[in-house]
Amino acid sequence: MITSLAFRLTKRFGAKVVLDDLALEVRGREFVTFLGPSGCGKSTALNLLAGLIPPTRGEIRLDGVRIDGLPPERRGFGMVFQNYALFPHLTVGANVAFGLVLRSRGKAEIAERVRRMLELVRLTGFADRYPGQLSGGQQQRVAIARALAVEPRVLLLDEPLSNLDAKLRLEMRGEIKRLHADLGLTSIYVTHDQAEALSLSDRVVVLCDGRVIQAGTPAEIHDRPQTVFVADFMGYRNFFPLTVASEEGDTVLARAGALALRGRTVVPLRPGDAAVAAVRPEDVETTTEPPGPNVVRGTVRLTEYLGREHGVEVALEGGPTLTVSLAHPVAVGSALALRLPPERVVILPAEGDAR
Amino acid sequence: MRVVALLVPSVAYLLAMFVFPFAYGVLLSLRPKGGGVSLANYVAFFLDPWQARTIWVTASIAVPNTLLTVLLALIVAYAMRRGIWLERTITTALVLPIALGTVLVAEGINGFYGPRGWLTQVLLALGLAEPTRLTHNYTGVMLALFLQHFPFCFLMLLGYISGIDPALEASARVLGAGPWAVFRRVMWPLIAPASPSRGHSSS
Repeated sequence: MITSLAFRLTKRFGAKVVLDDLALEVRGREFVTFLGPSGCGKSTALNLLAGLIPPTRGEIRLDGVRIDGLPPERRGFGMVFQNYALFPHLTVGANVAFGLVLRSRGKAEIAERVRRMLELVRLTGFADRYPGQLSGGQQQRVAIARALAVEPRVLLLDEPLSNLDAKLRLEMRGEIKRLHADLGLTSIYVTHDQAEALSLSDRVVVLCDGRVIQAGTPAEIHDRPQTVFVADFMGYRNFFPLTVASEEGDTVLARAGALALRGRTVVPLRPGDAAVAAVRPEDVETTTEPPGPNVVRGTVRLTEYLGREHGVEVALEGGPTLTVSLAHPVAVGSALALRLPPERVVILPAEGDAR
Repeated sequence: MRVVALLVPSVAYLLAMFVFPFAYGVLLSLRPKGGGVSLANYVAFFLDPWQARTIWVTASIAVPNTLLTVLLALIVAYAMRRGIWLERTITTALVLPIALGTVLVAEGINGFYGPRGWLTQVLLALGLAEPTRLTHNYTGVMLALFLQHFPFCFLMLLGYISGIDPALEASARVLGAGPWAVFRRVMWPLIAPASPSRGHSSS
C-alpha cells in the first residue's frame, strides 16, 4: 500500500508543449481523474507516469523515492488501456498470469492468483478462452484482472470505457469503483467523459492544452467551475457574454442590453468587468413571473424528444438562444417565459483562460 | 450462395493455371520411360552425382542465405517498428535494389565488391587488407542474393511488425517485461507466423 505518489512533469514534443509543469500529489487509496478533451495531455501524463515515454523535465516520487529513472517494468504499476491490449496469442489465464510469470512466482501460486483475479472480475471459467473469443466488456475485465494480478502500487487507467457501448460502460464504471474501494487501490484515471470523472473520482483534475485548469472534488468542479472551459465541460450549455453591473458578496448582477442575470460567482468579479453567465439546460424553469432579472421571454425554435425530458431551443427577445430542458412538451413557435434561478446561474470572468 | 458464385472465377483460374499443371507434372514424374507407375525417376534423380551436387550447392546457398536475410531484416525492421530518425530515407535506401533490377545491381556489386572495385581499392590503399575475391564465387552469390531478397523481407516484416498494436508492447512493459522479454513473450510469437513464409524467397 502506498501513501503518496507525487509528481511534477513537463513534456514537449519538438516545439509543442504537451504537458506544462503538471504537478500533483496523489494520496494512497485516492481515485484521481485527469479530465479533458483529446489532445489536452491527459494520456501523455499517464504514459509519463508509467514510464512509457520520458519526460522532458520533472520528477516522480513514490512514497518519497524517485522513480522517474526506472523503466516501466520496474515501477510496479498496473495499466489498463482503451483498446484492452490483451495478448492475442495467449489465453485469458495466461494473460492474467503474464506479470506473475515475469515475477517468477511459483506455479501453484500463479494458478491460484489467476483464479482469484478472474473471480474478482466475474470471469470464472474463462481462463482457457482466447481474447478474440470474448466481448469488449469481457476483454476489458480481463485487462483489469491482468493489471491487478501483480498487486500494482498504482493503477493507471487510460480511457478504459470509451470502446464500450453505453450500457456496458455504466456497468463497468460501477465495477471499477467497486474494485478500487474493495482492494484499497490508488488509481489514476484518464477520460474525456465528465460523467465518468464525476462518478468515480475523489478528485478531478481538468486539463486543457497541457495545463491544469481546475482541480477539486467532483462536486466542486461540477457546481463551482472557475472558467468557461470547465463550465462547458461540465454541461453548462448556455453562455451569455455580459458586463457586471453590481456585486454583493458572491452574487453579482450582470447585463447585456435587455438581458439581466443575477448569479453566483466562483472567481471574484467587480462592476464593469466583462463576464459570461453560464447555465445548464436542466436548471432553467418555466415561469409566470413578470419580466425582470433572470426572467426571459422567447419563442420556441426547435424541440428534441430526449425521453425523460424535452430539449428545447428558445430564441430570446434580443437575439441570444437559450437551450433548456423541460418536463413537458412545447410547440415550436409558441412563446415561453423562463426563469434562470440565480443560485443556478454561474457568472464567470470573460477571459477564461484556455478558451 | 452468391458468395460461392463469386469464388468461381478465381477458383477456376487457380485450377486451370496452377492445380492442373502441377498435378499433371506430378503424375508425369511417376511414370518412368519404361512404363508403369513407380518412383524410379526420383530414385534416379537423387542417386545421380551431378544432381546431388546441384542439390547440395543450392542448399548450401539457400539455407544460410535465407536465415541471414530473415535475421537481419527482422533486426532492422524490429528496430524501426516505432519509426526512427530519417526513416523514409533509410527505408528508401534499403528498398532501392528492388527498383534497380538485376543487371544494374549485379553491375553495382561488381563495381563495388569486384577485384578492382571500390571496396578492395580503399582497403588496399589503407593497407587494411590483402586483395580478396568477393565476387564470382560463393561470397558473391551470397551478397547478390542478400541484396535482392533483403528489401522484400524487410518491407514485409516492417509492415507486419509496425502493424502490431503498440499498446501490447506498452502493457507488457508495465506488467514487468524488459525489452528482451517483450520480444520473446509478445512480439516474437506474433511475428513468427509471418516469418517462415519468407523462407521461399531465397530459394
